[in-house]
Amino acid sequence: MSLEPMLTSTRKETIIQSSLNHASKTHLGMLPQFQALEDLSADTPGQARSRANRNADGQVVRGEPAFGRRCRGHHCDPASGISCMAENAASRFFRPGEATRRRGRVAVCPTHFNTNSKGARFPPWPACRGLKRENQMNNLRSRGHGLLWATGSALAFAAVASYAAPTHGTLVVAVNQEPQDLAAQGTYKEINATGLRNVVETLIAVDPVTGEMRGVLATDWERVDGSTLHLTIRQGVKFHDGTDMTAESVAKSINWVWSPEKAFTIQEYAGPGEITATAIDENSVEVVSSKADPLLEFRMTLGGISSAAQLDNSPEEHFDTPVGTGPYVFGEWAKGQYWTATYNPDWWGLSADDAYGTTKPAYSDLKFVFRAEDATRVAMVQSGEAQLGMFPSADECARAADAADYDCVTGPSTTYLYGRLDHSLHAHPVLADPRVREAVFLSVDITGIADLQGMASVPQGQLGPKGTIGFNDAVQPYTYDPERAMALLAEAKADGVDVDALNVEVVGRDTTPRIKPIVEAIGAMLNISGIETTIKVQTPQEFNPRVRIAGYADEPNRQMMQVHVKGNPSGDYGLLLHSNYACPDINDPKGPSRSSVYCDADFDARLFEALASFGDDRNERMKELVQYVHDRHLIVPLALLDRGYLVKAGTEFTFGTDHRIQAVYLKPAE
Amino acid sequence: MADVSNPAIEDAIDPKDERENLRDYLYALRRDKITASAVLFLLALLAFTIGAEFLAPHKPTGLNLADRMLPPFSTGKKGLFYLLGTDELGRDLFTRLIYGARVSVSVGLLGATFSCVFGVIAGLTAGYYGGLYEDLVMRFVDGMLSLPSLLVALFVLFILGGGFANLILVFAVLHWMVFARMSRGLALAARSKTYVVAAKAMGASGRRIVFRHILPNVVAPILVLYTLEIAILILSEASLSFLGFGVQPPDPSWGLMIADGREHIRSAWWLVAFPGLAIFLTALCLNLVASWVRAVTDPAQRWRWFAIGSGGRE
Amino acid sequence: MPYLLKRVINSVILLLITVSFVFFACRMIGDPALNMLGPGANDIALENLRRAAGLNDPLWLQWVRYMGGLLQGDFGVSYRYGFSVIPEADLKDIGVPVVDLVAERLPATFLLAGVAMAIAVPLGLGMGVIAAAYPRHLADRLVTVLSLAGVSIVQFWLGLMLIVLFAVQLGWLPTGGYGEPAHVILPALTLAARPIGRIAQVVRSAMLDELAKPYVVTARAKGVAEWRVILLHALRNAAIPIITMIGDELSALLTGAILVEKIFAWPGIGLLIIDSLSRSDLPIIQVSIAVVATLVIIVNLLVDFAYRIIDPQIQLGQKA
Repeated sequence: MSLEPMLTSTRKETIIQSSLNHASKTHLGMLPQFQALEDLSADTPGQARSRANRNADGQVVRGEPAFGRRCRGHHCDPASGISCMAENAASRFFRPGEATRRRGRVAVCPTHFNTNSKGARFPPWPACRGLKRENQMNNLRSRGHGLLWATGSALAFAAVASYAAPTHGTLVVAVNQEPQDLAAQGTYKEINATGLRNVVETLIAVDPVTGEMRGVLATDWERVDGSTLHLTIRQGVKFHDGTDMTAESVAKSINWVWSPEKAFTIQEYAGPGEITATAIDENSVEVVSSKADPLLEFRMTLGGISSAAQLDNSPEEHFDTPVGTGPYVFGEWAKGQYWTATYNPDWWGLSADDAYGTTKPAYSDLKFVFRAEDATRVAMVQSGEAQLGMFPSADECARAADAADYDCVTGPSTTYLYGRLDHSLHAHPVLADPRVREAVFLSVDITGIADLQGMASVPQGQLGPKGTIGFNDAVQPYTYDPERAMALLAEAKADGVDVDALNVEVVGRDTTPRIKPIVEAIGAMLNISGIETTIKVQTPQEFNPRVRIAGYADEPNRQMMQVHVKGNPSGDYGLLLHSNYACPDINDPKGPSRSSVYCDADFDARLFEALASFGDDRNERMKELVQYVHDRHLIVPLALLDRGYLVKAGTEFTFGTDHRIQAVYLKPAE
Repeated sequence: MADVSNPAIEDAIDPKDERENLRDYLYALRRDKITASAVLFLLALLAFTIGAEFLAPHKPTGLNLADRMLPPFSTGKKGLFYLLGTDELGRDLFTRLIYGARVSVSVGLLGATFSCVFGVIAGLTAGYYGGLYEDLVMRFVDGMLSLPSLLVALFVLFILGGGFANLILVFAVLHWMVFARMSRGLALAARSKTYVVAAKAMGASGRRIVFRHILPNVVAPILVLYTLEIAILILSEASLSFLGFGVQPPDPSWGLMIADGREHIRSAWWLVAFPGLAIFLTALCLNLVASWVRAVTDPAQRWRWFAIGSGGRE
Repeated sequence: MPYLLKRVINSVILLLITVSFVFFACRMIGDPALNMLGPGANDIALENLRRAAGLNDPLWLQWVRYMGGLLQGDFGVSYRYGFSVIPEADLKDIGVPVVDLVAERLPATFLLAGVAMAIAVPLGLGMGVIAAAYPRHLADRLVTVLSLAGVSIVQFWLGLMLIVLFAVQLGWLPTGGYGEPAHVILPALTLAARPIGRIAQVVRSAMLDELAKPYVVTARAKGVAEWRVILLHALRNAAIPIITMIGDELSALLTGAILVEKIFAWPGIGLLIIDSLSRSDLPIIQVSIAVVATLVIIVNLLVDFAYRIIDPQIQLGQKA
């Protein structure tokens, strides 16, 4: 893939010729009309490898946003969808000015769709079903115009000199949950501290426009070896408390965030080794992992950098008064209600020509209002109380098509819904029979589940989306075949397996959105194949211990299928395989595989070799393991979730698969 | 025992002049159309609850993804008719309501029955025997009553986990005091009545006096309270299930159905509207019946109901 | 005053028993640290929290410490906002005192209960008086049915329906939130439905009783204006049951607002309780239950006072 010319292009006005010449590949069983889209947006494993190699070799991309490269990994980014389709339509140029004429709305096109039984009720572009028809026409038209977003961004940057102050008032965001705290580490997962990235920035970030890593507080970085990374720190950046951001302070921040002693929740994305940082000179920081870590750059996109002065002088304030470097300065946090931030006129990005974002800060203030009730968030956007509402249901999103005041934008995430059937540990003996396991898996109508989930696509028989390092294109979803399932059960019974004892306990956690109908549907589906079920939706207190080795070791033999969601933002199968399939150790219940129910020494040995490998080798090893676990019917992947937002009509919102809500990626309506 | 009294004499002393009035009650009921329809509604509800398997048009569980979220009065792909529409798994809402009634009504009935039995025993004995026993019981009752009951129920269910049995247990534990306080007052008043004094003089045992003499004479107010309690418990069940601390899926209960439908409140209003209406109507009918029973058993008011041609509620 | 003093002492004892019960019950549901942090938490975080919150000590010691703290006015520290516990720190230093969190929520709860009562009391009184003044009239029947409906409706369902109608369809009022006068209207209306019904019922029946009494007949015979008879004589004499009912309903409002607060995202103590239950934040649960119980007890005491003011002849402690 010839990415480099685009990525290193320095002239932002350059009309970029898309060089994405994807060969048509085997399709995933999606609706035919989306085949081209799917293919286009999908990275080949080779591409993914090249990214990893590049990083490992220290050839890094930095500086300018890499316009023109929209398609990352398995899917487009929300904005990129247009461009992908545009490119697909063989129109590879954009015309400056086109974007300004277009009535700005974000068209979003996840690149994989479940077949939808309600298909007839939706417009022909299901992923864009939240948009109004006129708007879809716009999109269709705009597809012909090529790189709309690039245009918009280029104009925004061209306007740097004339930018004076925000033109709009307060951006109110209806958030689905209140943060546990606003510590700098919270930037690692948007859902844990929604909006924190407006205040606290990271060294590197995954650009939602390009899907590539780009510098934020680091202007450059270099791989020294498998476990060492050198980062060059941006000069002239000040924290909101007025102190300078130095290499020293950055190192202190990294050490604070990643310290195992501090035990922040970011540890769930900690690597094989312990991460430490030291300042090597005024401008550079050395980050070292105690073990070789192919994903070290990725980890640097997670932890926020906050004021070292605060850590020194008043560490307790670190948890509810974030002091970062971002375009907005933290205001107040009214516990239980909202938190606010105010425009930062001294933000480095106002004068830097390599600042991130599709726009300069357009809002004078930000207000993140906590509204756990789905209906309330929707209603807030409908009534104009909020300009952005998180995670509406598929139905609400569809209704936005008929509404004049607001739109729905959706995009793929890296969150997956799965059903994990007890296997080696403490499982009922009947589940040891491969035919019984297969029968259970063949009884689940995965398409139906994804449909029920809404805004979701059918995964390709594995937990990661296309484009993840280790993705195995040969693996296919388990086919829905109740008759075959019944035959397998009969066969097993004839061989003396105690099939009558089979009673699968389908369990979900009540905090998972839409879990109840899904669990009920899986139960009903298994019943159709003659498998008895017990359905439970449990509270976190009941559920959590049951999916943790230390907890379920206490249970009698069981036949539980836990239906749960997990995310894997790393773009690599390492974490997925390790946390889902490696044998957990009862004596080390804190291990990453603490919730796995599978014990297979052979698999573990191969996994740990794969985890320590780099590049092509890593990819091939992971692919084999993906096939291996698929054949053993351990986990049934149920859905890859899209996430959506209701936005005030005309607002352009750009987000990546990590779904960050950042004001510099939000262009208000005119 | 010393219980050698002559039942005939007791009956003669007993002022149970309402025994033969069943026909009067039915007559009064027939004239009160509102209460009559409330009674009919409750009887129908009871019939549906008992005979759900025979009366429900569809299966309450299962899956029919082809007929998801159909509005009321629609016909599905296979020609099935759905009176009140379907939910998101394509299950008939009317059928789910009927099965949901089974859960909601039995929680209300059982919870009220347990708390009534326990409360009345405690209250009547406390009122009749008095002394330290009464003091202890009533001190305890007052203490329990001053606790916020919904909150305590929420907390106890949080500890024990939700579910049908736990819900009834919690309701019984938290609602018997109301019955106790009321029946203690009634027993206190009855203690000095002639029929009690007479029965005592004839050597009837305390237990016999409490349950054979006092109890039948205080049935009416207790019945009123019982009916009201059923309504209150059905409402509480809905609240607790709505919060996720009550009945657990897949049992359908009305509160749970509202909780499930809330997500689709604008696109599929029937999912929330009908279970809410069902609860409302049930509670309303119970309240109507309770106030009617109170009126017809109240000596000051009953003439309005029995005297021919004297108006009353139409 | 000795009676009142006795009641206060009884109440304090009751509260201490309740708090202890809640304390031990909370410990029955397993490791509080694990419940709080979830299965994803690593052992260091768990250990940090346990150590910082003193969860490693024997249960009785924790209880003694907790009760000791309570008596000194120290209500503990929330786990929730001290979520990321740094190893060297103590929860006391970095966490938010529970008392602050609860105190922060009380004004919202009081405001909501106050507005709801401000709607319910005049409406309920008015409806009850009209019904009693015109017995078996159309107005009476209407009031009877309306008040029964108010009592029978599911509060949270009514709230949802009001949101759909006024916030979504008509767009007149916000769907939820806190801060502006418009925010309080829908939740207060939702909460007021039941007290309106209950108060109207009680007023009606108490007034009917009073109006049948000889002094009313005498007053009427003396030619006192009917509105004077009703408002000055009968209503005044019917005040005791009415006040009792208002007190009951006020306590019910303070506790029953949980659902309404949740639906309207009203940041009152009910929402705090629900949040804390779902997060297993035991210190908050313990204190908020105690606070609500205290409020209920205070309301009961106020009702007692009100009896005295209305009718000085009433001997407190003598009512059966």
